[in-house]
Amino acid sequence: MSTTDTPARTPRLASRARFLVALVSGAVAIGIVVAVFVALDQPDTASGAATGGAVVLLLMALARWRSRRSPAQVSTAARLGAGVPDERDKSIVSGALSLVGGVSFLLASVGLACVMAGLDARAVLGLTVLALAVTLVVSLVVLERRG
Amino acid sequence: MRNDIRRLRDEAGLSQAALAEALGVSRQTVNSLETGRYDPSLPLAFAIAHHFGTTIEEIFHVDD
Repeated sequence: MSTTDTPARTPRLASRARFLVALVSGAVAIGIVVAVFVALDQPDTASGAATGGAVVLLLMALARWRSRRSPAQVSTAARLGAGVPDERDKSIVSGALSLVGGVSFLLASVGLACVMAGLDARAVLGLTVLALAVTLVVSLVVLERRG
Repeated sequence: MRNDIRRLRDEAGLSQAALAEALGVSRQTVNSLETGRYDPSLPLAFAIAHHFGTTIEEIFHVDD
């Protein structure tokens, strides 16, 4: 059989392959981050990164399973996590990320002022990341309800 | 932008989920389209028109 006779990969199979690649890439990235923290003699941070990363990967797998089992019931975030967003989901996440980008300028300025005022830089950095994550989640929810 | 997707869907006896499946989008997207909260991309508008055997101009109307 020539190569032109090879049946085209179905969209579902391609989608599954992309999701598996994303999952494996995520696991490798988490492994690298954990290895770096261990090498820097930061076992607690390494443990936190491993736990957080594992939770994210688990949520991605759960979202994928739910979006396949009952696609009409899942949210934009679940479809994004599952790697099966439609054009409205992409529009919503694009809007949410643009909002996060705008807020990041404000938070960076506030964080800089806090550090200059004598607050612990690591705490400020951690809170900034947390605030950006909260901004992303809230904007996703609001835009999904409005759009 | 107004549209006649809900009327066309009702006439075809389709649920939102069934139309969403046929168009390759989520049920929430169909709902947002019908309520006018989301304007589709040109490819999706063409897909909708093709699905109902009509034209984009027959389905979508600009608000005046």
